[in-house]
Amino acid sequence: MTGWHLDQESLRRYSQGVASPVLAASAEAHLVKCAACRDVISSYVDARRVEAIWREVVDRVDAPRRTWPERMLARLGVGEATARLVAATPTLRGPWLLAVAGVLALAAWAAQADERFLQMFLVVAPLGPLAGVAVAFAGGLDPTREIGLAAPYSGLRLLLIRTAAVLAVTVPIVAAAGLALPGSKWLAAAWLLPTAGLICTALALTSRMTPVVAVGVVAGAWVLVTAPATVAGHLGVAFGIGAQFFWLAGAIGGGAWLAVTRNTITIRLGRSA
Amino acid sequence: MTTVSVHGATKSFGRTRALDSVDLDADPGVTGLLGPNGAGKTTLLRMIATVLVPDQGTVSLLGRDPARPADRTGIRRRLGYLPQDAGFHRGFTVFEFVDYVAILKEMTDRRTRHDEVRRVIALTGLESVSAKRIRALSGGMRRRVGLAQALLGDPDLLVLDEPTVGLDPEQRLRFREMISQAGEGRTVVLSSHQTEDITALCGRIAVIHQGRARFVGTPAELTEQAAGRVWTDTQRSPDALTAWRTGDGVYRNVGDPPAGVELIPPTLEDAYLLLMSEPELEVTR
Amino acid sequence: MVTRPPDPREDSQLLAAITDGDREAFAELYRRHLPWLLVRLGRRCASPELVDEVVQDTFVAVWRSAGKWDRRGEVAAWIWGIGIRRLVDALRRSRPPTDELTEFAGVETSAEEHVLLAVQYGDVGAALASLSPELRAVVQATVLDGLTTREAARLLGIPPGTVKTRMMRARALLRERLA
Repeated sequence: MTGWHLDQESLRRYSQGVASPVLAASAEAHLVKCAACRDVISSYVDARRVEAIWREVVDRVDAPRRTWPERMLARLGVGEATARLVAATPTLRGPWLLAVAGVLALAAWAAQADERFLQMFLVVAPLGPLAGVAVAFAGGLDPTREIGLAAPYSGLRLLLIRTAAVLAVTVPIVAAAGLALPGSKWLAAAWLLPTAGLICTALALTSRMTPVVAVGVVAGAWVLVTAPATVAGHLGVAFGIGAQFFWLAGAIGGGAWLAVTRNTITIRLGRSA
Repeated sequence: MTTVSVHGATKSFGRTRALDSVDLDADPGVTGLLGPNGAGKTTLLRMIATVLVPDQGTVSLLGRDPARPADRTGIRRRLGYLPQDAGFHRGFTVFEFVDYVAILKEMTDRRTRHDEVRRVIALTGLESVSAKRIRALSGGMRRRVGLAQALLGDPDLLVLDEPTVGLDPEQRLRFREMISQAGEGRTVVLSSHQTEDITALCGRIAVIHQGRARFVGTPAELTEQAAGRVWTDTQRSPDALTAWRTGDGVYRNVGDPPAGVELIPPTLEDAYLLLMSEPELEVTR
Repeated sequence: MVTRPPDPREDSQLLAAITDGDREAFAELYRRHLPWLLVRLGRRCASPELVDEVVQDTFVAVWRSAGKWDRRGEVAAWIWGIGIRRLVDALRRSRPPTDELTEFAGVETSAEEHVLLAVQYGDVGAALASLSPELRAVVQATVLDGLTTREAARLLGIPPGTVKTRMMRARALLRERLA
């Protein structure tokens, strides 16, 4: 920059901390602007110290930045590795959550406009969490696809972790949409047990087919059964007290089956695993 | 103990028979699967990577049976796999991606896992891009990221599907170097449709064509099959299965030579061409 | 780090490359700027361990927020700004809080003070030297280090009110000496 530089002796005294306050102040004012004088300083600094700090810096720079869901999970006592797996679940990324929220907002809005749509909301509600589970395992979105299939990490464990993460996010969205509906508040809760039953059934099916296909089968069956009944006004078929017990039994049964067979079944997380 | 032992493996997808009664053994060192695209190499490699189970036949890996869930986890702990389409999470940085795979490989302690991730990143020469997002990398670099994750945990069995595809010549050389290093003391099974890669790397090769193993043996044995079937001439010979004009102006003919021509030593590529052009050749061992 | 030929890039170009995740550029920027930062922060904090931690934080912050550099002024000044504030934060964590009753809102160093000390008068050095160490420390923290009254108080471990009164006294004395 300028032709003027600090002399060698001043730089040495400053670097070694023995410069007078006035010299130090003047040196610092100059150093901010002068690369050449800054370079001279490095010869007075312990190279091992520079190297040691660099190693720490590199480790912190390399390490994946913890996202807010990871920090939240860590606070809840979830292990760092598990939290990473959760955070990488495709459904938990913005666009997919927005899609789920958008569809439900639309359903809620339609229900305000017309009584019949109110009942249709119940039919649509479980599809949100179900779609979330499917997205979590869709081939093109899974961060590791094939690689993950050949990794020793338990397929069932990964399936449950991702499903739990998806439910933790989508269920509150659906619940909020349900509460926004006019009329009886039981509507806001009537879909919960059916959803649990459907999810557990889909999970149990993953020993036979990929999660995406399993969700498709379950969701298809659900719509085929409930949509005509709902349109015809027989809400009780899918949501009445008897039906609620049926869904509860389905959820418990599916869960119990997974628990009992966990060491012997092969979870098909991807095509032909 | 043979690390990889495949017997009578058969696999169909719908009506297509991808693999038809294939036998293959592999021991420490590099074993190569050579064959045209769609020959069944990927299907065979997916079996060796525990991702696919044969309809018929048996597979034994590292002395265990991948069809049994308990054995399979044990195999996967000692396995590294680079799939043909590695499927990266494109928003991840190189470090984040390899770290993610390391978690799936059951490395839970953060500090040791990061050290291991750094080790494989250094092995594959990716240090300078470790903080870059995968979507910003070239195809060759992504292939290296795939190799890096396969090397995590120093596996005993390394399965690499077309590791050199899409690489420029310089990158291919660098990759060969890395693979041959990896082949010291462990079993590497890789596939390629490039005879140069196979010649350069493999102590043992299997030629796969239309779902069958047409040849299994050493490169020298395969080359030997073309002995007496390659000759040079001033013109394309009508007896040749294939012939081309080389840089020095003479024609290199491969096929059944007429009497009195000048035979030359064959290459592995000659033998491979002959094998491919004879659909019903006997399986040799 | 291994020794390599000097990188021809300017600091500002290095920062731009760091935004794209260029590790070599980061190593070069570290090589250029760590030593003086270590020395300068070392003069303001007696514990080398704490200084090491602070420079670590500083360079991690440089890596992550290289894109936030406003492209004005010296890169060194920007790095210093990060470093000294990290030091202030670290000192606040390691020291018991100062008397809250005497604390009042931080006041930015006014442009007048910069002019007063840096440009308008010739013999600043001698005038500074004549100040007592306490007053000089306040002048250094607020004027040279560019800290607010509150930050200077944290750095020096004294109440902000004291920083204010000492600064007023220092200013009066300097004006007298330089007049």
